[in-house]
Amino acid sequence: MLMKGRWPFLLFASLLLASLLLVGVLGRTVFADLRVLSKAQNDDVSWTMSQLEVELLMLQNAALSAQTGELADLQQVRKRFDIFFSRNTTVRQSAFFGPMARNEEVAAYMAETVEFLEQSIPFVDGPDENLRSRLPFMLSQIEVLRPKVRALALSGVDHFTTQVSADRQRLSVTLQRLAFGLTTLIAVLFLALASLIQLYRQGQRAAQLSDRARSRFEAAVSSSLDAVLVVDKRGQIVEFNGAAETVFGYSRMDVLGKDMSDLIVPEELRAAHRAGLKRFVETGNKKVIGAGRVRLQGMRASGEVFPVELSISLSEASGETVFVSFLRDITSELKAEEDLKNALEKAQVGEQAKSNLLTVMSHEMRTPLNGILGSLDLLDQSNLSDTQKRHLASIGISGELLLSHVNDVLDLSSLGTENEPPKQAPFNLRDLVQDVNASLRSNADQAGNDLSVDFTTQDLEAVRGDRGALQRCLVNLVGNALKFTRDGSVAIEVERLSSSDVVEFRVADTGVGIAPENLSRIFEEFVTIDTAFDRENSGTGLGLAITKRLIERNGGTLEADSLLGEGSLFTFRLPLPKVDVGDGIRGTAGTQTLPDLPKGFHALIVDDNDINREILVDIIRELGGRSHQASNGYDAIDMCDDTDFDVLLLDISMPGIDGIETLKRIRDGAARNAATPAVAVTAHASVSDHEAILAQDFQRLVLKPVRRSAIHSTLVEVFSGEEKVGSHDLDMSEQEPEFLKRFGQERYTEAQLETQGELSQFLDGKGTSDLISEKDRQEAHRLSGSAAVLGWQSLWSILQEIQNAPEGQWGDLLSRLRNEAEALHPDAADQR
Amino acid sequence: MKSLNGILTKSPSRSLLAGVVFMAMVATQPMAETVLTITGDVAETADGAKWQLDENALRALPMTMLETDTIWTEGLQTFEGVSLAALLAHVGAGKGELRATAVNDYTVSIPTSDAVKGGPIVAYLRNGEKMSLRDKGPLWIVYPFAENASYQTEEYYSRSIWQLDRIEVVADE
Repeated sequence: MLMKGRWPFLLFASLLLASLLLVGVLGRTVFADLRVLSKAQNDDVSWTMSQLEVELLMLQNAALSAQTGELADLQQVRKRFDIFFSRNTTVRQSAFFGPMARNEEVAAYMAETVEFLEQSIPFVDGPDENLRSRLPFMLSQIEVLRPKVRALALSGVDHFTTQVSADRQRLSVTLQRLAFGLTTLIAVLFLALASLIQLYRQGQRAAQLSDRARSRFEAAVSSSLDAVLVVDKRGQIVEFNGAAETVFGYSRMDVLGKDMSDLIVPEELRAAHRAGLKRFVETGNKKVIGAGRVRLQGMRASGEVFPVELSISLSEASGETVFVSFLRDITSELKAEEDLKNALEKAQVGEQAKSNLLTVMSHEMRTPLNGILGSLDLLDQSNLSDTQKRHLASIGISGELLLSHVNDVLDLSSLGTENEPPKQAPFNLRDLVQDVNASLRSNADQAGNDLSVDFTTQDLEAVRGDRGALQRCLVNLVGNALKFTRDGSVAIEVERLSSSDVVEFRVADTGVGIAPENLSRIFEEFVTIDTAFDRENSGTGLGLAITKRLIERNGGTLEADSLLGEGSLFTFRLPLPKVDVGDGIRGTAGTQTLPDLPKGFHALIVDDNDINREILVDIIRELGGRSHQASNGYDAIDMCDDTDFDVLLLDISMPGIDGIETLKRIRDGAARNAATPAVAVTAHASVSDHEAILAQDFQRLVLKPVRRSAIHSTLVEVFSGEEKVGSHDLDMSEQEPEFLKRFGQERYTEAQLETQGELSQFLDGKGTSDLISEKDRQEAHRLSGSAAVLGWQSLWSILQEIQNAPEGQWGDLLSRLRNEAEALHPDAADQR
Repeated sequence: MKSLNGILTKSPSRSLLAGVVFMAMVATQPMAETVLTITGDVAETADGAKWQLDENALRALPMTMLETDTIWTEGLQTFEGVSLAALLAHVGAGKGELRATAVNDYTVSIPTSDAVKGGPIVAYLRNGEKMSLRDKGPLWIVYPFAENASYQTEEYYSRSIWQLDRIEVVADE
């Protein structure tokens, strides 16, 4: 309408103007005509003119009467003459006669009439006798004049009708023009009316739209949950919605037009606010405007200051710049944030406390257990009645159980929190499974269970993986199976999956089974399924959870399947890639019978715990050594100044200076013992702790609770000058001759004799060939298995060398084997 | 044509001359010559039903002067006479209409409502001189045409009767 509207408007305006002009001009003409008409220029022309003839006739009559009559008749002539004279003057002086006189005939007739009058006046005004004598001449003149006066009268009529008709014509034309002008004007006005109506409708529509937009906007503002304030450049409030009323406690009507900063800006911020507004108005420099959400302070009507979050934007409203502010009271948000922060802190503190508790438990619970179990070990050697031995066995079992629970908890927490990569090393898988099988055989026997192992595929000997973790998982799963099976069978199956790196382990039992609803829960922490057996076999419920975590940490999977009353099947798969045999597998080293230590070796025992010290003293004594003891680091340092020691056994956690610092001072302090091998004896369970300790000058690390076997093997390694190992393998130290433990002395001796027989046969059957035959290798392999089980370390080593001899040459191996065989033979029965 | 123009231009002086002659003639007439007779619905007179007014009687009434031009005369004219209202009041005319008749028996009706202040007068002097019969005298009812344009219509022109002789008052029922 804007672009389109200009032309029609101009056109219309000019049309209107033209019409008005036309009508105005015509109107003026008509008005003038009407004025002329209303002011008659003359009276009745026809009458006046015809009266001229009538007066003449009256004069003639009077004259005729006077010719014969008396004096009075002469008076009548005079009167009629005067009247005619008067009439004649009237006609001549009238306005209409001018135009009429343009007709020559009319002018001539009139001239004759006037001439008659002029000639007659002296006689009319003169004495009666003169008049009377003049009458005949006057009558003859009148006779001549009459048709001419008549002609004058007629020409008057004619003039009158012509003039009237001309006037009418003129008026009619003017009126026609006026009508045309009026019609045009009316048309233009109609046009104007139409366009006005259209404009009105458009205006109405626009107003409606604007109204709607406005009401929508107002609805949006008024229903906004956020307080909305609109402020002009002077800082005066222009709009204040319902939410703002609620937030600030003012009513809208009270604040409109007031200064915003006085009402809702806290006093201390007011100056800054005004300066900011002033700066913006003067320089256009925005700071808060358009900067998104800003947190500031607001003030309520009550004067209470509270935190607000606001965003300010600029807007143009009818050409004026206004600030539109959205404000939100964030008191509760801030409180919630604060609460959340506090809760997080509390949780973190709690987590720290838990972690601390576990660390403390690691030390403070394992130390006394160390005492109990160590003392039991020593008591084992004493002379006791059978009853006493049974009680001791019970104490031992309970202690071991408690220790395993503590270890479970610690393991779980370390599995949950530590992210070390699993220890990968080559080991003999077949041997490991057999070891587990052997170690649990007595458990199986006690419950009347048949325990079997089946290797269903090849390539299950030399593998690389986390040996400790695998052993732990197998022990847990098989132990569990045995726990929930009575007079049934537990089968272990090991299978390499289609020549891949993955080995599948299946532990199947014919036990009570697990209800389907519990099957999914058994891998959760602290879950014990409530069965009759549970009460007999109390546990922490952590075994399966640890197992699952261990397997998954090593990249494997664990699944369980069960039929209630029929039995359970646990299947796990672990990546255990094959390795070359030549990699030097320690294998069954743990089962060796440890060699004697040098007689009378001298050890320094440093521990703040009296019982631990006592046990260590006893163990050293049993191992043929002697010892000094110190209850703290300072005493130990002093002793090292005075005495030479062969080995230092240092507790790590001690009051005063700890084991690490003590050793450091011993090394730095005196010439004596500067190079004496040191063994850390610690209850610190975590691998990172071990690494930290071994990074110091310690050769070895022994975990509490200390066992004689662990001390023994460690000291053997220390005295033989073996290299420091990267970390301590807990399992190794516990590899006591399990055969002896499980099957008793009698069978052990029997097996020893049998193996010795076989070894003799092998040696006897051996020809003179210098080459190691395939048959020799197989026999050596068979014998090495037996040697491992019996704990004959050196024999096992020689047999391994024979199997792996690089050139297939006997060399000195045969003579060494004979010497070993002879060494075993005489006192074989006394080996233990 | 030439003679006519001459007549026309000389006309006023002629008339003036004629008037002087007529005046001299009138002066010879008896003093009590009646110039206006008023009959009809009028107050009783001392001698009878007719009002016979001579020039003196008219002049005895309050004189009204008006200046106007007329369609029958050239230039501005000064008329002196008695206003119609004063005349009717003098004779005690009733309300209605007047039948005014001239010497030549021209008769016209004039409503008495015309007789108002600022209305017509019965003039006996024109430009300070008496009017002769040849010059629309001796009496002429003249409306104040210049003063009041609404008198400039045929209706009032027809009521402007000259050589007025007599009036009959016809009152409304």
